[in-house]
Amino acid sequence: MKNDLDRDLSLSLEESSPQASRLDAAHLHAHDTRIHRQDRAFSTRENQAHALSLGGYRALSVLVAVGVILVLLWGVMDLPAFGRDTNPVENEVAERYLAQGLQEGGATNLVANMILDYRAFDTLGESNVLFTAATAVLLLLRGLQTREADRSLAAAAPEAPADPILRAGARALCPVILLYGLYIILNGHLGPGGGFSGGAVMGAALILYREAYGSEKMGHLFSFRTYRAISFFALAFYALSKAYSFFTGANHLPSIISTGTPGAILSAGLILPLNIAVGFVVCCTMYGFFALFEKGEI
Amino acid sequence: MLWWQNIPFFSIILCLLSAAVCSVLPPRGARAWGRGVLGLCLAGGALLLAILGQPGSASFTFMMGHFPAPWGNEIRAGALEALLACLFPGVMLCALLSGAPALSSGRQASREPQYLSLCMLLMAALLSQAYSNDLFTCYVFLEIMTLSAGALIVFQNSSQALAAGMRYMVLNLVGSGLFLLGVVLLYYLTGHLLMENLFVSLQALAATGEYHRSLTIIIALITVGLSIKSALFPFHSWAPDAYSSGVPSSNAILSSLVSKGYILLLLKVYARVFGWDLVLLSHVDHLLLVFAWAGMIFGSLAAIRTSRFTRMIAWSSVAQIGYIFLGIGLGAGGGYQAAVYHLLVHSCSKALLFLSGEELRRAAGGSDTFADLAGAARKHPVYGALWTVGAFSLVGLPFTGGLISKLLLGGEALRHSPPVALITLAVLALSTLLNVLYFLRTMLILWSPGQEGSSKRGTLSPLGLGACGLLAAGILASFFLAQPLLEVITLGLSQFS
Repeated sequence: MKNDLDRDLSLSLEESSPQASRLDAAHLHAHDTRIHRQDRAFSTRENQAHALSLGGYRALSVLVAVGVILVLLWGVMDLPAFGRDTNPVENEVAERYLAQGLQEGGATNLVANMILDYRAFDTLGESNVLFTAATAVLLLLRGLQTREADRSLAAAAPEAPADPILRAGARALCPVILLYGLYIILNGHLGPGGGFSGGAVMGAALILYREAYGSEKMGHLFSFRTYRAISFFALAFYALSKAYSFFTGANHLPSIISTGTPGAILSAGLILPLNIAVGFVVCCTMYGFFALFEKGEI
Repeated sequence: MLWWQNIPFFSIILCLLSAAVCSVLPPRGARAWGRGVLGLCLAGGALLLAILGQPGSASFTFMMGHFPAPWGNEIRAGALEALLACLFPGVMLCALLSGAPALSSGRQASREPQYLSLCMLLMAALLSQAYSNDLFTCYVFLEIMTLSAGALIVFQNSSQALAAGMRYMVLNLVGSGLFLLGVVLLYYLTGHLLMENLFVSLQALAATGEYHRSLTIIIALITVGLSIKSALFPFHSWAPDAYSSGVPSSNAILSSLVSKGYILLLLKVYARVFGWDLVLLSHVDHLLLVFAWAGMIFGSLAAIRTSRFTRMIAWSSVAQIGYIFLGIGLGAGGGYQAAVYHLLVHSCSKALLFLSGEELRRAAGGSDTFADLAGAARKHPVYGALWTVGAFSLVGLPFTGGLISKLLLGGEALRHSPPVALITLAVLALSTLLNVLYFLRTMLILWSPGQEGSSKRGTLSPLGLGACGLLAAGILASFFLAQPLLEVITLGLSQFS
């Protein structure tokens, strides 16, 4: 990985030097082999020049990084001291979140009010960041298995059966972990927790089960179709329910969503359903990443 | 609240929802859905422009939820936002229509829904970048832009695209990180994320002279972060590969839309958060001018040196981004105006060059070297003519919008101190001369008699041709309708403060 990066960076260096106009990215492949050869034997003058430019590049990047660090430290020293109650961040914005969050949002977890009610648009964007990342990885890795060579490789090396201790452990642990994740999600408006953390815990349970019982058995429980369906319903529900809330809020229309009794499990308006939607998206993304990076298939 | 004031909110949510919908539809359905949604967003933007573009109209804010800003989120639309809400979906629609063959052929076909889903996310992010009134919302959607654009590069899965995507990712994440650092520090100094409140707090800080050092660092962090992401010289090293190794629609979307989203954000931060006086106080404007001058020359020189057609178009982007930053560096008023004008013109021109260039490449048997492209325009005279329109616009010839933006930049430079004015005019002249050199050379090659029979004539898709025609019409319209367009831009910029 590091070598790849170095090679890429050295390419970019070569390219910006005037004598290297013939080096085009379309010839990347050719360069790859050339630089590989250079890695093996630094004998000719050209290769020495390349090594020098690489060394120079490294020195320069260390210099730039140290420079930026120093400037940032110098800037931080100018900032107001951390944690004082006279700091600018202690203003009317934070005050209202704390003082009126319970009445206005309805969740006893004030952070949940902030991220899923007051600033729900940001969080809608944030869960779409996850979806973007998952789609990007899907696009990048899911195609790989369809290549002939990979398929024959996969056929030649069937999955080794997992360790019996792992299987027994997973059998005992997976349901508990899943249940705990579910609890974190469902309890998100009442105490610490929520969709992001609970979804990550549930994703971990799915990954453990897959490791213990193999991707084929996991396929019965969670296939690509499941992944697509869950992501779609969770995101569509999120977008539509928030669209309703934004629309009624901005147009000052009456909304059917009520905050309920603070502290009750069915309270805080949309926060509980949104936590569930976010939890599902996060769980699918976590598990999807693992499966795609392992086998190129969910 | 008037009914049309729901349009910005509606377009953003519709795009986000469509991203989920496209991911589960079959390829044909996803294609139709994506085009339909972009068409709807374009229509909404046009309606908004018709209302907000009228002289004397005022901008409005829209509460995203039940709580007013700064507690809740808020979006805002004025004349400039409406103009961009037409430009962004319009150019993306053209790119998807004209670039459709490469998306639906062979191995790619089954992955087209995912591609469209990412395009929808990108559109939602671009629209939010235009409409958002809150710096943190801008950051969230900036992340979506970064990730989805990276995926558009690697859609083709070729080794070249993967290398370009990797380099893009590394450098763009550095840019995002610097921007986020700037936003965090701003929040720490002011306690606000809403642009109006930030402006008021920062003016108060500037008046007392407190935290001058931190403010300078913050302005520099945000400027450099967004400059890296929009490929301003000398942070451009990722751009030529990223703009030239994907499928044609990705190349067009990346070079003409994604970079513009970041530039727009920088302009908003300068105009609505810091105010130009504060930027002047930090001397970051000098940095921008120097980078812009160097980029205008260097990008053109690199475009001349390269031996590949697509890459030449990509390198010319580095030079053109320099023009836009030159406008920003020249400052509030005329400079911003020129920057926005060139942003519009370059979006249309660059997308047209990539998309019609792809048709010419196909006529030449898919080759990308100049030698093989000889005579390509004669095989496809319509696309040849369209490509020529795009090239004329970037050179700045009459009857194209490129001339207007160069006139605006030159005129604004004259209002500055003699050294700045002289250097700017000299660089403009030299860069134009270099543009002429490489675009003229390419045009001569494309229209030369060339070898006969070496390749087959491609089929002309009416939709693709229409899309390129629309972009060319945009370029011509930005010349013939320059006055009303400038009035809208001036109105939009005046609503910023």
